[in-house]
Amino acid sequence: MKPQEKYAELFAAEAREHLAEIGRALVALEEQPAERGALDAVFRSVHTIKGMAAAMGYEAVTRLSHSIESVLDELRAGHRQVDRSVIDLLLQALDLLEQSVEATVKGSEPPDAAVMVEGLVQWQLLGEMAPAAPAVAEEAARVRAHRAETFVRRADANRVRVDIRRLDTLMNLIGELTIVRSRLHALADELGSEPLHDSVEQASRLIAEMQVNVVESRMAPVWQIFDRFPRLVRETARTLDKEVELEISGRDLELDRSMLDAISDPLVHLLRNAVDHGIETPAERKKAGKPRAGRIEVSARRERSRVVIVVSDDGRGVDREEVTARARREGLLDEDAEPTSQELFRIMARPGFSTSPRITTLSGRGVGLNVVEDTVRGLGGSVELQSEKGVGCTVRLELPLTLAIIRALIVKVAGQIYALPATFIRESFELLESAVEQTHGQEWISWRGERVALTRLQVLLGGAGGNGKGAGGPEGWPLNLVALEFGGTRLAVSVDDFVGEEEIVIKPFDLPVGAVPVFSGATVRPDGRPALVLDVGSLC
Amino acid sequence: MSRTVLIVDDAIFMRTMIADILEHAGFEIAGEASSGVEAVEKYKQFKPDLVTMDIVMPDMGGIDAVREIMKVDPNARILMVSAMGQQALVVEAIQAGARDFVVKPFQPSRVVEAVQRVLG
Repeated sequence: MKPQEKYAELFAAEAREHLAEIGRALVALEEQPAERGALDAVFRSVHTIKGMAAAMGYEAVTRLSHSIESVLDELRAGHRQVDRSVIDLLLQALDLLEQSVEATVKGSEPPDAAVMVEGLVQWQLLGEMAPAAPAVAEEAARVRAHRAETFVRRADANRVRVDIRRLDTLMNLIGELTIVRSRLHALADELGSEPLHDSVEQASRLIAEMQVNVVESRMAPVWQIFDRFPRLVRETARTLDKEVELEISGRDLELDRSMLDAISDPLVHLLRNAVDHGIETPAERKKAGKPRAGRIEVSARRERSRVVIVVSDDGRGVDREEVTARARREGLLDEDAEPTSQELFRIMARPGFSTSPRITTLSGRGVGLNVVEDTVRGLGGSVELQSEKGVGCTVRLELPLTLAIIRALIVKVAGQIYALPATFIRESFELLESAVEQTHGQEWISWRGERVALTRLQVLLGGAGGNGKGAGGPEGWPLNLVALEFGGTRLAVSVDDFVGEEEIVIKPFDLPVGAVPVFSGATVRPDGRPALVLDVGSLC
Repeated sequence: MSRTVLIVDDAIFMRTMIADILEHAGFEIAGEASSGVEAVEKYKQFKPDLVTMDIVMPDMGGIDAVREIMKVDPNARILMVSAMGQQALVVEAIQAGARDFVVKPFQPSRVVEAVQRVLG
């Protein structure tokens, strides 16, 4: 890589971080105008962008950030006070700065900033010269300065930036190593060689450790996307004349970098929806006896090997009865069936479902929901919606910690080998054929006191072969079953045999035309033969 | 033996650029710091022949860092790296003990010249 290219990449990456930081700190500043820490944070980031841009010879970016900095200087000197109009001005300038940075990085012409620069200068010249913040505000600022420290993003000198593609390659290589390791294991067993076995064991431990390290190096904190939310919510709310308080928690939680990128848009959809269709207008809220300002909470936390991200609002919620009624009319739901939360979400996520004028309170809820579901499912996660009419709506996303390597139960169905991701498995067990009930053409079993639908993989996957176990044999035959759970839905599947539990490397693949769409990827077995990975989400 | 330099800047971008320029000119990079606090710590740790110091940084700015380093070592050689429009701050830094300054954007040759000047 040429030095100029290296600098350009560094510039782009670092400038983006600072732009996100500016947006967050500006919104914090509007909420707490006396918050010195937020103002300083904005200033530092703008200043850093200016310095970097100047060093790169990016004139448009340099000039614009210089003008923004001048406005910030006035505010920092206490010549002018922070108010909504200057925050608006700064946010607009920030947008332009962002466009300017992106255009410059791509090598295209940055947008004309003359009008904005003029506006920033005008603000400095024309505004009334208000006295510095009164003593009371200063005292408050001193108290808050403590908390303001959290705004400061620390750039650690002991860190290096690495292109995510390199980590992808490294991950793939470790994946391949894992496969070779399994082969070596098999070989050592076959040869019965003790020393070989020991060496393979040792190598296994090292590979496992390496894998953990690479997985961890791919992790990035969720604030990298969460920090854009305050601004997004603020602006959506302002356009709609609504008042919304946003609370974010768990912003330091770390997630696989590519997962983080993938869930950014879905989360934006969910937040927009929450402001647009969830939160009511101040007048409506007053009538309903709720506080004027709506409340939206975004939280991220770890639950065992999963990451849970929850977006909830205290808005008007979903009219479950209306959705259910409509789903029945459209034949999406059986007459007597009550949808689970998961099903409710899927119904609403169907493209076009919510466009009916009948469900006015929901209009638009469906926009983007299918995108949310597709993305999260594609990542091996699940989406669940819980809502009570008039009280609010909670969308819960569950995601795996990492994408590339997972634990899986290897099973045999109709002579073929398949992998079931372990995260969705509740239990594997045997049951007598006679214990299977049948109603309305659906088979059921009783599992831990619960009636659970049974899907025979032998039938679904279309193989007529197999040893007959599980394929619907005589009453006394034992069935090999796996209980699965996905986003609140439980299902039992029958297989011919359990092969064992293994760590598998998932390779994405394109389904052949006409194939049953129940696979999420493929993996290579220790013997070198491929096996398909079952997509539990589409089974449930 | 090549002279050692501690580079202080909160932007990785700037640190990389300055490090490249100075390494190319035959200096050895003793270390990097991203804040004033870290700069003082690393100064004590590495005792570099020269420090390049940014002005605006979180956790103690460059000028305070100059003061702190001068307390530790009154003979410290510090070169300020400032952006346009920071003349007043540069003067303050020089009063605090910095030897010279360069202004971003800079030509590599200017940086090397200034560094050599400061090292005498």
